[in-house]
Amino acid sequence: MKITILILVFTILTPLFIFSQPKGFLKVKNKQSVAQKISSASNKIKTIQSSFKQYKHLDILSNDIISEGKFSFKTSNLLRWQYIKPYDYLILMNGSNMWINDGKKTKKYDTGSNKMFKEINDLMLGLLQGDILKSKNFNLQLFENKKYILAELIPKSPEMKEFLSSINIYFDKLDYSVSKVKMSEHSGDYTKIEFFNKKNNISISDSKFSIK
Amino acid sequence: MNFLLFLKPRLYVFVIVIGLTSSCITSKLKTTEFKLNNDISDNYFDINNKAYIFKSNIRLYKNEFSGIFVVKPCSNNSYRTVFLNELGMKFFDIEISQDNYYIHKIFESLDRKSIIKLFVNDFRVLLYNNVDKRNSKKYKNKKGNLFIIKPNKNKELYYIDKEDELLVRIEQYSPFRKIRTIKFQEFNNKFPEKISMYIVIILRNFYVKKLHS
Repeated sequence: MKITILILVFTILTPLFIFSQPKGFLKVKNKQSVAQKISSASNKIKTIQSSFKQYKHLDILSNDIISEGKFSFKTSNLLRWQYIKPYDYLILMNGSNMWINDGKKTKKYDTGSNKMFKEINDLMLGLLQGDILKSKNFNLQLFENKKYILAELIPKSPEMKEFLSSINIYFDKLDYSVSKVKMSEHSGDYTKIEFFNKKNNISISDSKFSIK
Repeated sequence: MNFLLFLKPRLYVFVIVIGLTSSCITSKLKTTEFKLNNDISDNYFDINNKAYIFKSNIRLYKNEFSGIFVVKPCSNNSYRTVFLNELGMKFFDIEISQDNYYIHKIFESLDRKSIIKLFVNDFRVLLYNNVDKRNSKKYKNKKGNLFIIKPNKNKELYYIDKEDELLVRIEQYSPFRKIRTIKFQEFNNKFPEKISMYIVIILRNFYVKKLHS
């Protein structure tokens, strides 16, 4: 009888374990060593300049909403995130200051006194630097295939949980830099951002990260 | 597929402004005899169409949001209305029909009865704007370039351009004042590529303080 129950439980749970692993990826065996490699690679990066393509998938739409842009990052907390298609939209992060230009006017926000913008600020900087893997606000699992290390982050904080069910970060195995990011919602909708034409450690002026 | 191509070919603009100022009471209207050349116009948001995507600005009293507003007609004669910011964060996803609504998702700070009621009423006026141009009584505007339809039971005035017979403005009234104005502008293939909505809040205790927290 006990054996029958065990077989039944095993039969029910096995597919759950299989499906919890992303398709085409295997769980990383030496999690600490891989996390260390990502961390030391990101420590060497002082600046990044890259283009990106963002896909917003909504189940109700037959086509994803695609936007394109470029970003510049400078350690430790300077980010210029600029959409150029389908319309101009600029986000600048500089310490606790955040500027948004919607193509017509610029507005300044203090991320220190604004919880939602602080979350966005920390999320974006953490994603680009790979620092987010160290964050206590997420449960982390690491997977790999031939090309990528996949970090799957499950948010713990209620603020982040409201928007996202998981964040998948794909690190390129060649240089352990972030290659793409997929942020999934509970509904099954998601935002995927792919990075290309990346240039690391080039000179970027501080003036690019503020608006006077 | 590129977003711009999906929009065939231009980006629509959608603006909602919510303020606290009051407006004038409906003035007396003079009737006009006007014969229509076209058939009764359909709703701009064709229930058989795939989806409408707008660049959007929503100003709720002192708070301003920009992003993308999606209107997706559904098979059961309802519409899904979704508002996202540029980063893809979803602020609301509300399914609206003529006499009901369902919240698929709403950002916690917006999850207040008064705000939801406001959105639902706005989008209902916007999406279900079928008006019987042919059989309704028509009124003149002052300039004479528009005619106005006031369906008997409704509290709305529909402004129709005399030249192309397109709906260019909807005004909604309470017994004492104008409470809502929707303007349809920048037409392309008889579809307004810019839509502005202005809502007058009568309730002084309208609470929007926590929107950005």
